[in-house]
Amino acid sequence: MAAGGAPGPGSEDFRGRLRRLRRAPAAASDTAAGESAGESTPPALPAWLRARLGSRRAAAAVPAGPERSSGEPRDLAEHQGPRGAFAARVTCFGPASDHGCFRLAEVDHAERDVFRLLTGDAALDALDPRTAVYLDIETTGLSGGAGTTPFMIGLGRFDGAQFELWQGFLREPDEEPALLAECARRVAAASGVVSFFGKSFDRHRLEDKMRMHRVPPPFTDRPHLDLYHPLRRLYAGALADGRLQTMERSLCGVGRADDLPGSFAPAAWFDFLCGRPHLLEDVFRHNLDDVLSLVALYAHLGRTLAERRADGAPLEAAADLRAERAAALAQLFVKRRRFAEGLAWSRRALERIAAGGRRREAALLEAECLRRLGRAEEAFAAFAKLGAERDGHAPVALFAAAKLADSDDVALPLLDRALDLARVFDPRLVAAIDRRRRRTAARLGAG
Amino acid sequence: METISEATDGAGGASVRGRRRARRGRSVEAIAEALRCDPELGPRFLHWHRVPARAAQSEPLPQRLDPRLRALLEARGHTALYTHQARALEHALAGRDVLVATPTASGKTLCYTAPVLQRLLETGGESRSIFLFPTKALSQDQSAGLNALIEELGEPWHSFTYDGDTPSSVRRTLRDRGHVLLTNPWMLHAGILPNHAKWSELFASLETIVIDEVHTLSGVFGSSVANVLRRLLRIAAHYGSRPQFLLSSATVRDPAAHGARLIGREVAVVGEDGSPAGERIFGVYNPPMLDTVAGLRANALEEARRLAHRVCGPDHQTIFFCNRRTGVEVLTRYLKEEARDLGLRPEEVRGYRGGYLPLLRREIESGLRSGEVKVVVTTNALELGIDIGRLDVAVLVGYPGSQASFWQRAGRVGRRGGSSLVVLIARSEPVDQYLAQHPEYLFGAARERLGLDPDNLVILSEQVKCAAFELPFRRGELEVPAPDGRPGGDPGDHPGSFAAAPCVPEVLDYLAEESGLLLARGDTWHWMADAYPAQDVSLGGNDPDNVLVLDAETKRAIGEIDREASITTVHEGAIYQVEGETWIVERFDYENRRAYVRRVDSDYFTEAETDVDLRVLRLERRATRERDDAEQAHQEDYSVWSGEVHVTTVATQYKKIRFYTRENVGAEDVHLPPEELDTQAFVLTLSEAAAAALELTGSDRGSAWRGVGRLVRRVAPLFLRCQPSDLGLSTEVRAPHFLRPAIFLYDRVQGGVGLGELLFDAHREVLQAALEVVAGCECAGGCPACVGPAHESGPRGKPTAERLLRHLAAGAAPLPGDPALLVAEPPVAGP
Repeated sequence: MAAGGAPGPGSEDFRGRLRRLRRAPAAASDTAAGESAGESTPPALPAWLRARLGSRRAAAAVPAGPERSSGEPRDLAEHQGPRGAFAARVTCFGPASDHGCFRLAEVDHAERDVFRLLTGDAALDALDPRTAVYLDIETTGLSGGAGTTPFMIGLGRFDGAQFELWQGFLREPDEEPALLAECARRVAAASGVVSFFGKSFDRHRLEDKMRMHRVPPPFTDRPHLDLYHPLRRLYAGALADGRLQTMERSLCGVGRADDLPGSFAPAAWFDFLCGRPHLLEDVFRHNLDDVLSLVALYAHLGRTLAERRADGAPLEAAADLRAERAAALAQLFVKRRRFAEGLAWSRRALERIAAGGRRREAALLEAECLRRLGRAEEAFAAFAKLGAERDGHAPVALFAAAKLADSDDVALPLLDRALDLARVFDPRLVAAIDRRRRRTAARLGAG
Repeated sequence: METISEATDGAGGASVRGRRRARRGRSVEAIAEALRCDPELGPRFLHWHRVPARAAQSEPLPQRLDPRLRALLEARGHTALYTHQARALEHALAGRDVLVATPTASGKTLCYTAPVLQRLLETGGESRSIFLFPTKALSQDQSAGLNALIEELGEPWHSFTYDGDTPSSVRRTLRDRGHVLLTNPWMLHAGILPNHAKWSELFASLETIVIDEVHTLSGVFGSSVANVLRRLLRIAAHYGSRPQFLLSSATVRDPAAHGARLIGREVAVVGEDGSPAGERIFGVYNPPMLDTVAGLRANALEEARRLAHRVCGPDHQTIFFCNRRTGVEVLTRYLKEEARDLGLRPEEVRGYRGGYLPLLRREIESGLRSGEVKVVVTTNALELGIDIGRLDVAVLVGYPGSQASFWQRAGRVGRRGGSSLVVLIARSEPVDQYLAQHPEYLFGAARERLGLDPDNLVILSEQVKCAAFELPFRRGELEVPAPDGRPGGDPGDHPGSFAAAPCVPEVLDYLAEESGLLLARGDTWHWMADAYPAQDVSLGGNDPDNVLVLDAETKRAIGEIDREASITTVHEGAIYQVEGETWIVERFDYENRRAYVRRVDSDYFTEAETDVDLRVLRLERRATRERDDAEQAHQEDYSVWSGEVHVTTVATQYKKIRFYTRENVGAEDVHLPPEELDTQAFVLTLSEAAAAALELTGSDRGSAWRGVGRLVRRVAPLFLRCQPSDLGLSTEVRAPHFLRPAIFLYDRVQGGVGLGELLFDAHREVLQAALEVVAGCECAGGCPACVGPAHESGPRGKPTAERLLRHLAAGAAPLPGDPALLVAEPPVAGP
């Protein structure tokens, strides 16, 4: 070591030295040293120091209300697995149980081909809601990396008429391999995985830790339905954000009372590990609600095309959701080149949307479907009608109409107008329109 | 051999061709001779030095090499190996850690690529390697070369570069498919190690860690990287591998010690260069004196331009090294404009520096290799091992600051079978002038020791924090010294890369109990926080936290620049230059690190000035000595302190300087937020009474006092195992905080790494060493080797500094005192 000798525990108060070197805030006993040396006010805490000291403060402000408990969470059963002991809580729900306004058993009425339509993932055909697992985990942070620990793993599945929610819980960090091995076993026994944002988050947190502990990860080649993306695609325009709680409330009527925000989960587990009173019961409940919402949202998503539940009731009451859905489906069918369905859904969207950009988008889709279906006259009329207005859709529509026009005489004024509008709204189109316009004009001139 | 095809400019073509022809066929030997005999320039060469030609020392390829690898090497002309390559391979194939310390372009790359390919062949593609390079450019360069070799072997293996530029969409594929990972220390620290599970296949089969240019890993940066390597070994052990190290370095003093400190294991050093080289002629050129009173010499850049007319030509390649980016751009512009007078086409003259975009750099590199580029003007960007082949003439515009850099740059020339020339142009600066007078310093044995202290407590504890995030710490791994064999079967039983570090259990307890980041359970410390520590832990060094320079019109990037330099280079109004083209900075979005520039034809360039301001925030320790003469009993003599300081660097104004004439054509203010540094400092204060007694008085006392500070800063790194550039210096004859003379030496890393604290404890030894330097220096009145040259340290600078140091280093050591107690004394009037 360099000058001054190695600061060993014996040579000096090691902790004091380290505190000084790391420039942590002085303990109460040695505050005197600092401020009086000239500065009348102590300097503001520099940013790098705040960053170094951050962790303690994050645990501080818990919302008022929730009751803390002490000791181990209730109803934990210990199991022995091949990698050691682990603990889990199992909660069972009877055949008539519901979550929000959905019965859990309504997953049976899902039209399963809709998932492939929405995600483009053919593997989802093999995912059976009765044999799938519904996965949601609680972790010590969102940043990822080897130090981010999933300390609670919620796995729901149907067991006969019942729905069984298994919540594996880490009582000690060293139980991790045993818990992960059990999680892997349960996932591997299922026909697929249903999660919310799990393809981007939960799966990777588990896989990382499994690789660390040499537990073979079970996710590869297993059908995985991540509800987040299709729900975003269908309803983004009508919802404030893409959070699970927004989705479950708007689509399934789930209301949570006194829900503990997920950001408090890490502190709850740390408190428990350190023997302090903790909020883990709220975390268990939060995780349970999350998993049940996966089931309800699956059931909802499974009825997207029918737009009615199995008993004939409308899927949801809100008109804006119905409008959004129709518009999104129209777009989706066009993307999948299923133009007949695209036409039907675009017309439904037009029925449901009174005005505005969204309506014009739907109209454009309608015209496009007509064209693709070979109904040229109707398509021309639809495009021309769109072109009568002044907005970003008009040049596209006019350009398309011109291509469908019977004669150059008809096409030329459409192209003139398209060019004018493109210069204002969509400069990228100018070159293409201009080329066609010139060719058309030349032909007319020659004729 | 080569056809001339320029003649685009009609009438002028003939004379250009004539000039080109006139410059053909001159040997480097003849150029050197012409310079020596030139009536005007000759006398300015103060020193000529010749390094004789060296024949290749070679050996056959080792029998052990896989026949396919042998065939590949032979096909590339390596029918034999240079002795240093042979020794390196021998050690590597025997499984030993190796450090090859030979000059640039001596064929070091083969010393590590051959063993890596051999292992891939032996294991049927199972073996994995990590290559670490100190710059992004180097890793890209090497990746291309390695992939070419692999392709020729016809194996489905891949090497790939993984750095900040790697698109996240391909990262996953690379992780799963790569056999050789080329990256840099920052990426390893903040991206790969904290996510090691994603790389588990790599770590499980990791056999080789190659680190190129390890002489760049010194000081705070090197000490941090040494700990990153501890983390890397720890993770490798977790996945059951114990990789071997293959290191390469420039020629440095005591490479074995440096290598061992860096990787924590003994290394076999290969230092004898067996590659052939032609004769090398060195000339030290001192520009003419313009103003004898001020000691001002002609501008080195202008002199380089003048010398270019003698040393550039169509039949050989010349490289100019400048120490600053602006220098590169200004000189490139000059030489392009004057290319025809040099017998060259403008496109045969290229600029090259770090901020250029990768594609442009690749193009220039390949032009240098193929010989199409005749003249390149560069910074230290071409000092490291980028493959450009060997050139003929090197002109160093100013001393690069260290012997290692000097030799790296000189190593760019020296073709087999012919002479080559290295010219060092001395600037007006003290060190350059000293070297002009004492060239033996340059050509003697390596003197600079590389500072490295992996056990620096702050660096260590920050890195232990990162390591604890990656894997729980077990007490066993800290107690067991690293066994030499492979780790046992128990995954929890690491061979303990941190075992050799002092106090790790105490650091862990501290992080558990005081910081609340860890949970101690039995013999294990678990990470227990919602945080990603590597994000907040800096490695020091030039973090590639870059500012992008964008064309305001097309929004295309035309260059990049590190943050520290951005405030003086891309402030609004600055002229930014790329290969001699000028762009004006229209807007500098400091927050988002974007500078928007517009192409202009400017006849001036810009240079910005900075102000440094140091403020004491908090004093933590103090030791004081009283004066020993009886009548002055209980009067303070001198004190040392350690504490926190706040250092502000602000760009104040910039000057517009006309090309060629260097005429100052205007100045404007720079409006940018200051760069702030909160850090730790060591302070030495002298009481006014003692200062008066020691005759630190008069109008030039400031320069004498600064001389003392410089001496202390010069020797301190030897005791702190850091680099001189890690320490900032500020001296004041009446520091506002202390109202007396003070010398501040501060950590130049945000937050500090405890250098001030170490200096506090070691200050007596440091003062003694500083005294020895000044007392033993043979100069008459000050030189760069001691207090600085006389015109900077003042006529009484050297004797005053020596007297002060003799007084400070002798007598009793100061006793601990109360840092809060600062007795104001009335300033003592000068005699």
